[in-house]
Amino acid sequence: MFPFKFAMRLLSSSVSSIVFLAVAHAQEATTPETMSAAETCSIDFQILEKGTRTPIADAPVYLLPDGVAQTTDSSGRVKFSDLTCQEHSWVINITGYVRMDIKQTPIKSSFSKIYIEKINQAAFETVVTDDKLKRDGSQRTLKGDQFMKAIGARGDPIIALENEPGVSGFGQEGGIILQGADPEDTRFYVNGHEVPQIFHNLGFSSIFIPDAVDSVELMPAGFGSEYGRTIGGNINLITKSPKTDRLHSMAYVDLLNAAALVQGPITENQSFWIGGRYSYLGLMFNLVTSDNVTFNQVPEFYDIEGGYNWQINDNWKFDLTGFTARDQIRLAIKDTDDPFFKGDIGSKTKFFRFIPRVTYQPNEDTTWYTSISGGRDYLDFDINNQYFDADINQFSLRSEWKQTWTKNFTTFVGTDSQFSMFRADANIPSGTFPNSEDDKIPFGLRDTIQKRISEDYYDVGFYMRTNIQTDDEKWLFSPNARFEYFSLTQNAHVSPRLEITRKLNPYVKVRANAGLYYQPPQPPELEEDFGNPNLTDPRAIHYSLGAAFDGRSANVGFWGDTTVFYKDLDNLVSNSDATITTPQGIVPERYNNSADGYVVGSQWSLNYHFRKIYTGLVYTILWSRKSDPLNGSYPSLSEQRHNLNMRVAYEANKKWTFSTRARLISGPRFTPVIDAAYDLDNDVYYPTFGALNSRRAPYFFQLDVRADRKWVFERWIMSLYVDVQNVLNRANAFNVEYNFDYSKEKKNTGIPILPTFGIKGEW
Amino acid sequence: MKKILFMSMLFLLASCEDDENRFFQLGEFRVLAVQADFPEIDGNSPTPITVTLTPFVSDVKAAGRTLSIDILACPDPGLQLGNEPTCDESLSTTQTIAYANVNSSTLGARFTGAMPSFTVDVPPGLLTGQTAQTQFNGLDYLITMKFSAGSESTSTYKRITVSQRTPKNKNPRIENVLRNGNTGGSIHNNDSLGIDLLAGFGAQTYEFRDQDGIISEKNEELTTSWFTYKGTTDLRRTFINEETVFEQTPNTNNPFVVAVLRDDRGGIDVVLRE
Repeated sequence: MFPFKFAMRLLSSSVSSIVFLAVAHAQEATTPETMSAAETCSIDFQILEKGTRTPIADAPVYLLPDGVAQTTDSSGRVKFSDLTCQEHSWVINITGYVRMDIKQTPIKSSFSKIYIEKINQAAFETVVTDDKLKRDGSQRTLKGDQFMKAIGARGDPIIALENEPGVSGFGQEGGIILQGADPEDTRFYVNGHEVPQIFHNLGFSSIFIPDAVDSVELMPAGFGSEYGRTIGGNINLITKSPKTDRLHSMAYVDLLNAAALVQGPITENQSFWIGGRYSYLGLMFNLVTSDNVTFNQVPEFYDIEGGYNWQINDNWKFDLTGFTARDQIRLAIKDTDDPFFKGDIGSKTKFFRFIPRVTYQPNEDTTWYTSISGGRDYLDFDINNQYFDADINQFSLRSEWKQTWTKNFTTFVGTDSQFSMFRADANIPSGTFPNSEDDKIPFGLRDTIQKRISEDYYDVGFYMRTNIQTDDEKWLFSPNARFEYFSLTQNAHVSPRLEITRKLNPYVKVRANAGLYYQPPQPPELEEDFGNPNLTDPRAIHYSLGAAFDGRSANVGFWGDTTVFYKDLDNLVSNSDATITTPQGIVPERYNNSADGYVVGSQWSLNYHFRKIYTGLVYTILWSRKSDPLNGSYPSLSEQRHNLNMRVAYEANKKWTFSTRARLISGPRFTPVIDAAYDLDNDVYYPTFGALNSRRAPYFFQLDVRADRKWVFERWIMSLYVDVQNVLNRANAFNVEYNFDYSKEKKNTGIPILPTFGIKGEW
Repeated sequence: MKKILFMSMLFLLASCEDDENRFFQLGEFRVLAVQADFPEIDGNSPTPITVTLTPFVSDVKAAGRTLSIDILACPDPGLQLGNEPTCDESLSTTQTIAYANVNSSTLGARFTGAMPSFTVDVPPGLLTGQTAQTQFNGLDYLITMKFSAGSESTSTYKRITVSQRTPKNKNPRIENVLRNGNTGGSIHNNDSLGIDLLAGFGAQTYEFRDQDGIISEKNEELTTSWFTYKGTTDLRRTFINEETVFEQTPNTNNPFVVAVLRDDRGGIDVVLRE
């Protein structure tokens, strides 16, 4: 009977441990009998993952020849007592790890650390979304392993979003375009608090080092009432909680920057992390720029971030996140087509935030948290004698009470409010501030506006969500609503939203949602001298219908999702060439709310994982149009009709992964110039434009390849990636420009073939 | 702000186009400048003010042919707001200015120089109904000129500022185009070229009224554009204290340059230097 009992015990611990059964039997026959039992010894093992030194809990350790098993505790420790003081053999065989055979002679009380290695260090993590992580069906969540290994992303969490459906890429001015919306209609958050930028201005990295980021939440449309102030979408970056088992460190260098991060426990219930990055981008710029440009300050950026966690007691928790990011460049341009740009140009943007948060969870059914963000944004720009220097104090409050009343009924009530104090000294051309559909009057021909701007404004938001689930868990109704007040326009809105989810079977889920969204105009658009203070709030109604399926078994198989979306837009801010008569006289209207539009499209994601191969296919098709009295009906600048993204990753062995990505994307839209006149006073040509956004640059096609390698040592891990972007060296146009007199078009092409690498050490 | 930064990065990566270098090399027909005797006039005048305008052109290769100009004048249709720099002939506020054809041989031995002047009567009352700021700083009266030479044509425009402020803007004046800091000698390869201003006709200080009614002083910034014949310059435009280096086309003789000086408010001067 002994072999039967033994087998049952193995089955209860781990399926893979069955392998051990045969081994144990084999060794039972060959291992000599133990000797005298007069003196006893003991041995204490601590089982740690090789490289990360993470303790492995609940792992069975078998003592041979009898196969006596003990299981490790939470610190990975297991003790064998009453052993003879002779050499013994143990076997550790855990699913997902390389089997380890140990021979040791215990002394009276001995301790030994055992490092066991993951079977596949380079394994491609394929979990894309997890219902527990997201409240909205339309939300997509990228976890750390996903963006770190995303091909073409250089490990960056934001660049990795390019591989997601509905993401049309990066706008010409650094914004991110979601589902055909204007870049200005996408808002960025860190831990639920809005930040002015999520990307360094020069556009090569997000503002956090990847190892400080737990996940990125992408909310392209149909998001819930927890977020507002936008008719487009949101990107929320969630920072990591520090590790608490020991001190961890990480450092990496790649082609553009170097970074380091340290984290670990302070006391038993307190922990921290701190990290930072510095770019040496300027060196790269010096390679590609000409003698025409002199850098007085090479382009550079840095960011510093940190976090602190305090588990006060079982119910209360406090955490603090702080971060700052800065971008700076100063250069002298000797000769340009537009004399406005001749001379010294300098730009410095910087901001910081501190976000303390208190969480109270008295039981599993109740959670309450409040977090406050405080910080300041700095924006300094000058070009010869023109300048814009702004300091903005920013505060925001996010608080939520979640109560699960019954298994089927949960409510969320919260606030998401902001307060801003904007101060700026400006001496700049009018129409300088970004607007996707801005006309393209040469800067040198615009009136210069000089003034000090002082404006305090706030947005107050309250929201409530109710989740009602049927007993069979097939239906989930999630009605939610948001109340908002925008002090800039002095408008209050109630925005109802609804999401319904139906689980058809264990593999397929469908959902439908609709919601109302408002956003205030951009503050400069409301400024009396740069814009029009009489503007009102643009509005959108989002509709989407989607399905998700997951046919994976043991992480093998197909999974994916599809969504059809429609956004109805009105009251959009549009340029105006009219003048209006005020008590002060005739003034330009500059902007009005006469535009409306729509975005309609569908996005698809299909993934397949089988053994060592992962493939992913993402496709988005959309139409985005606007209309206004000045231009009639026209396609939006952000209308990216087709976006196809195909990825294949192959795990060659336990150390190496090879991946490739192909992207085929409709070319960016632009407005053609049909004529031009020479401005004799300013020595520059003034263009006459054709139909707005009526032409496209040629389609974009890019093929990237990447190889990842890991070296796992007992106490540390070294990783290397080599990423070759645009291996076909195709000259893809990211926009179309004209020569000095608009007589010829020319494509501004993106990166040529670009091999990059990164090397990282973790210990 | 991001837009300016983005534009400047584009210039950084793609500046100094060959096309524009060719534009500054004379040979084909070029409109160099149009000088108004009064770049800024009094907006309080109850009667029309006559402004005389003198076009400067170059047409070296053709060595003599007919040049014509179609001229319209009208209040600024709103260039700042994105409207095209054209005058609508159907509007009563638009005036058509007659201009007799001329032959480019009258421009001088180099077929480069001033064409006969023409006049425009700027009507009174343009500032009526405008804000106090616009009345003080001025608004523009637009003159559009379509130059034709054979099958070539170039559309251009110029503004006359109508304002209440004083003193009015006046044209800057070049006393000499300096060659290696000197006034004498003819231009050769590798010469450094600069501008010597006539005393009293340099950058002006002028008053500017902001949105809050506060009047401050601003300084003009003078820039020179360099047109060349049988050569190029390393900088196509220079600030007033900046020099540009002339590179003569090998195996050529008798090069010349034309310096067009602008004061960023419509004031212009043009000098040919051999």
